Amino acid sequence: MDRREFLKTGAMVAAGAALLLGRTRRVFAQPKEAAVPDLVALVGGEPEAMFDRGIAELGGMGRFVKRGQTVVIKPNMSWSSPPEYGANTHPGLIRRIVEHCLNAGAAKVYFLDNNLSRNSYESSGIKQAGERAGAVFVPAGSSSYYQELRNSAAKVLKRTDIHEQILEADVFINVPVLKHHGSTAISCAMKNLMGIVWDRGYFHGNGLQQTIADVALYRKPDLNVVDAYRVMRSGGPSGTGTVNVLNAKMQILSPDIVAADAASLAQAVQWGIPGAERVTHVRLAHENRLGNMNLDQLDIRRIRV
Amino acid sequence: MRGARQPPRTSLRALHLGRVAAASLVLTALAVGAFVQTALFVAVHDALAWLQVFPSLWRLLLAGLSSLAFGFLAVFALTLAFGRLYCSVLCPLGVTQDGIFWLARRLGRRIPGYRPPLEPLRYGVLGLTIALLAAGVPVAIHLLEPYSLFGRIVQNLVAPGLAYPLSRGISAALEAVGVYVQPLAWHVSLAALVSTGALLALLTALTVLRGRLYCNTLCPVGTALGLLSRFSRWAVVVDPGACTRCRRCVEVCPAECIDVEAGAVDLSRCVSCFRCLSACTFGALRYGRRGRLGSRARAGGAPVTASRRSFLRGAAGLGAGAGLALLVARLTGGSRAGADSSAIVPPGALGVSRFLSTCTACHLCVTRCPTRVLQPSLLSAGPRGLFQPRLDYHAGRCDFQCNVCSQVCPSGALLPLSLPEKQETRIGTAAFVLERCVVFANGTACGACAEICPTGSAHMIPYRGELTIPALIDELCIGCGSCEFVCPAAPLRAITVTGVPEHRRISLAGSTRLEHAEPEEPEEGFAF
Repeated sequence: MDRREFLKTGAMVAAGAALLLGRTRRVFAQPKEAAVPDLVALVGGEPEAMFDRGIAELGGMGRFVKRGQTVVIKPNMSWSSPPEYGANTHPGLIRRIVEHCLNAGAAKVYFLDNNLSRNSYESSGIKQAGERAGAVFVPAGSSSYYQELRNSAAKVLKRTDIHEQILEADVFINVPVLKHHGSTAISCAMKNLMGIVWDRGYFHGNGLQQTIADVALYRKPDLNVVDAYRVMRSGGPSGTGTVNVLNAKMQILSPDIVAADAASLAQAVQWGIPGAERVTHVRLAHENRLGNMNLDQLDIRRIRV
Repeated sequence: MRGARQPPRTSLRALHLGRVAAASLVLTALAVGAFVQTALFVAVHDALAWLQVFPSLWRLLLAGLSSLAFGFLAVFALTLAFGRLYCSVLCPLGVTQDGIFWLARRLGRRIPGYRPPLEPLRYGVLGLTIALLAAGVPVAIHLLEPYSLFGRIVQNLVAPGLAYPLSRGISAALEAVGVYVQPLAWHVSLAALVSTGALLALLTALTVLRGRLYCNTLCPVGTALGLLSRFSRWAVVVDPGACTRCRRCVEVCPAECIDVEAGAVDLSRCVSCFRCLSACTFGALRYGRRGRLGSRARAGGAPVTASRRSFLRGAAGLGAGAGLALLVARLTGGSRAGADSSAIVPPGALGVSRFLSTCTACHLCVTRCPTRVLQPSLLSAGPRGLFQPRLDYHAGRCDFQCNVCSQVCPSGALLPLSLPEKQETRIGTAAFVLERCVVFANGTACGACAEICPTGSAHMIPYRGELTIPALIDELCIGCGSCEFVCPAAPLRAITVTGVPEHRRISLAGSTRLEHAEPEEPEEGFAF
């Protein structure tokens, strides 16, 4: 074989190898991938319908839950109030999320919250809704369920006890309710994580804003679904009857917990929830690189249902 | 024929073993049913608690006819008909002693045998107990009443020794197969453990040395039932014609009540354990109908102490006991003692002084309290309140959605309250000390108290800059202790609750927690 034939053969072998090794995408022109937004905000529908639409916009539940995985859902079900008070997550939303997880092929779906009041799981309606949808309710009232962990990236909460089911599950879905809070002004995605630790008192005694910003370091949720269907505007966290409840009918979904809280916070300011301007845990978490609070840098899909 | 050996009749043996089986079931149900909250266990437990003599009698007196606390009458009727069956089947402390006695015999221990009764002592104790109760001092009940002592054994010894570890083990085992059942919340009071353990040790010693001596001298219920059982229609009866005086029955009798010489059983002390029926191999003992009520025929087994001398001895003892009681009451201040203490007593007690006078310290409320706020005390409210439970807001908080204690109290010390009634019952008042608050000391935001206050009494008001501190609406405070329990300030909490001497019904109408209105519509548009 002469030099020309050698070069021709060599080039064909190289091209063939490149094809076989699959690195063809850079060679052939590809159509542009449908972009998945960083945050989806919906308004005007029932929580279940809004979630159906919102999760579809985010690429479907299958993007978060793979077949055979375990999922843990963290609603807010700490308060012995009925759903109309807006103190807890809407039970229908939890049911819908559980159904999506099971349809996506989850092996087991758990839900838990370290609550403050004896009947809260039942009076919120969430325990019944979750179990009816096929999820497993996990008790949280015994210290034996919690494991102590340390995290040096935390500014204040350098050590805490996290519920083992939060640590063991493959997928962690955080489903807070957006509402006023007497101590932190707002209770939303990051504040909701106070229900996965055993000792909440530490947060109260060591600066609420920074400890709330720290707790997400221990396990970042894979998906945050902010329930702003009924928003308690004052008298939070336990509520003042149905006075001061806003029929907001909103829902915010995002894998980025800081973005979800930043959007919720902006909304809270617009609705006049007292003290919302002085919330600092969103900025503190952003500075600690937990997520992005600059909403103008994010791809946000706004949907009116 | 006299002296002819024969095995005990099958029916008598069956009576003995049947009695043992029934007693075992009762003891198990009362011990387990205190912890296991499923409907079946609770129903059986509560039915057996209804039959306990002193709690039932006391509850009828305190709560009136509407309480339907007639269990003691059923037991009185049972005793008049069949003897002191309560003492060997229904009384959990009696059954426990029965078990200890059996174990002691298996290990070779033999008790002396027949002894004459101690009339002055047992009637003295009964008189002392009644007189002290009348004077508002239930200490004799705390120390001597069988259901009270049994309840404390269950809560302070069985729980930490057996129930809590077992529930942890079961919970862990179920978790391994993916079933989540929360274990019992663990709380042990060291003082209660030691004091209850000491009383149990004393009782065990007494049982090992002298069988059912407690039941026939110190137990006021036993003495009272003994007054009835001496006339019982059915009883353990001796046939002196068949008796060979072999004393096998005397050897096994824990009550020391079989007088072989006189050929009679002292029915006032017989606890109907039926060991003697299984022991006699000459057919001289049977459980049968007696002659006319109070018959003195020897074969009828009339009590050997039915004589004028013993009656006078008993009466003298009763008088002495009552006199001693009045002296004790005078010295300890009687029903006024401890009334000014700041002890916090459970809702349903109506007031501190009333609770101190009525609570039998059986600790059933302590066992059933879901938040572990009810804790046994030793002498925190003076001698009157020995072992009685208090609310301890460092151990727990009184949950707004719970009224379990007032519903389960078997003795009427806590009268039942519906949940709305309990939610409007003030048992204490809260007070805030700014200098102890973390907001003041550290300049950080807290608000744990206002967050958890169920009535809206504790709420946040502006303090400095962006910080807020709690303020209290006194009219709305019910003293549930939620604020004190969650306050992170250490070593002293910044918000604390003091008990009120008389519980008051307040109105939560002014509470913003319960207002209702139509939800508002928001202004349009996303804010981002």
